[in-house]
Amino acid sequence: MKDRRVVRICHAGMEEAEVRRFEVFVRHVENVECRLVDEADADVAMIDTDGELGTYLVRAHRMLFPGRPIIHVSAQGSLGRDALSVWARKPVDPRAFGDAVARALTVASPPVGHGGAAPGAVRRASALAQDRNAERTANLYVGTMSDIDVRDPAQRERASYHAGNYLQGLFESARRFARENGTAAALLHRQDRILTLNANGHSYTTSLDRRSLRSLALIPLVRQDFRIVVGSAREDGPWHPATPLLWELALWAARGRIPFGVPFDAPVRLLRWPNLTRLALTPDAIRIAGLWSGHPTSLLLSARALQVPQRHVFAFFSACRALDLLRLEDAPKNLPASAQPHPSRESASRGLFDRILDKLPGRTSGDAQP
Amino acid sequence: MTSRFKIIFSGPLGAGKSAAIAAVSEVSPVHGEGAAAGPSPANTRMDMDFGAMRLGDGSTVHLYGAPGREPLEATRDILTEGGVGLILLIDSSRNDPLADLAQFVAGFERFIASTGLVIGVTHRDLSATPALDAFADKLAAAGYGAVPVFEADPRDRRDVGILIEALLSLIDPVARA
Ligand SMILES: Nc1nc2c(ncn2[C@@H]2O[C@H](COP(=O)(O)OP(=O)(O)OP(=O)(O)O)[C@@H](O)[C@H]2O)c(=O)[nH]1
Ligand SMILES: [Mg+2]
Repeated sequence: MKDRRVVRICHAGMEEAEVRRFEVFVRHVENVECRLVDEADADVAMIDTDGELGTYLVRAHRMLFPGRPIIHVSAQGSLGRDALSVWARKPVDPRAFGDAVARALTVASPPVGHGGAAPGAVRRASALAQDRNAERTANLYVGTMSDIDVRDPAQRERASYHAGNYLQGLFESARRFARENGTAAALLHRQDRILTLNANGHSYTTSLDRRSLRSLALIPLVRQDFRIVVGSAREDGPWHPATPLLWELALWAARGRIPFGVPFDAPVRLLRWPNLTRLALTPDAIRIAGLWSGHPTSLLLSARALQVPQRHVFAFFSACRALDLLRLEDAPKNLPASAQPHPSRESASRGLFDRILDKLPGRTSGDAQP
Repeated sequence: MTSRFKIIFSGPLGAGKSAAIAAVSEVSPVHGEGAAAGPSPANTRMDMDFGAMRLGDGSTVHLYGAPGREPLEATRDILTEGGVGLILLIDSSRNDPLADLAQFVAGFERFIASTGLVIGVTHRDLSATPALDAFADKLAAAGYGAVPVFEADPRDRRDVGILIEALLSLIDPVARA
């Protein structure tokens, strides 16, 4: 009995109608059984790179799934090829596509494509956190950066980003444009309208699907390809609230980093809580917010106190900052780290804060930790 | 070592207190007259809500609510005894939600001062106003600092879970829920 190999494939940059045709198409691919799956579960990605945003789609996918082979489907040749890329020339027939899949599997390492039979993780029935565990671990908002040593300027640089280089910055510029001119503002990529903000900057409409928008938001943009012009408030909708998008644009741009110039040692105070039931929830966001609203704490100390990766703290900081929800207090001057920060509430909080400090490695309190 | 927390749900008539407790409770939410078994407040003949849930670290959270038609003064002391915080549900489709907020915050002033406060703004599907900032402004003006204010559908387990988690994070951000 001959086993047909099962390969899980995801796509990017295809319109809905194309996807439906593609679903029919893959049934005729020889030698392998292709299944269209969500991007989180795929063995191989298939990206149509002929669209205006093809290069962003490829680079964003590579950033999010560094080890996954990508089939570039294009009439023109393969974009930004790397060792994990193969090219299928348009128009693609089932045999050629089957070949491309086979090539993609050979460039992949470790080997993939032996069916999706991984036993589902048994979820313990517990707690409120349960529903969101998957959401948290699967989320793509905080990147993969490991903790940095802030004494090293190169590492500090690695943990910082310029919002202006990303869609976040363009979006913020468009919003400013709209408010200053009292008109809708449209963001163009070459001749194509990417999105339009209404005159007060509170809502937007876009021609892009969510994945394309995300791809654009993840990658530093070629600025000269983009322009902000007067837009039309009568643009066909649907119109969406701008705040949740800006929150996500900041997370995508930051990917677990903080804006350039933000001190790592200045206590962070949360002035307003983000509406976390309706915004993308990042790992440990609630605990970080709880800490910063009661006890202004620096970025570094927050990560240590909560025993979470710095990128969780940095990501949440960048998103809150984009929404203007924070204030940086004065960084302590010439004080040992153990002298800051001061809890702002009394009695009940003090015990808590002592416990935070006790948890920090390298503290001078009696029982030092290994 | 595990802990037990008691959390209070309050808010105006019909704001969603019973729905919220039912949405997250892992025991069948108890309500109805005389429902005083187990750890629910003894000797009450009121229509209290009670629920319980277990956290990832094994801690238990007990959830208490009282019906909005009872005068606050009649239920407050039973409710708040031993409580670690208050989740105030405000129905944004009522006449004057900001006045409701002010009234309930004032009613629980002493309790809030020594514990935590989270606001869940409900019925957003029926009314998108007042803006969340208006609630936050009002609290800030009253000297409460950065109080978590969230839109929440009390029938939604995820939303209610976030309210609870936020309250626990105020009480002890270092603990993991
Ligand atoms: N549309 C809508 N209905 C809601 C919402 N929250 C609660 N409800 C409904 O409103 C009604 C009242 O909710 P309850 O949970 O009984 O409110 P309560 O605060 O316990 O009310 P009392 O105990 O009488 O003070 C129920 O039918 C709920 O399903 C919401 O956000 N939107
Ligand atoms: Mg009720």
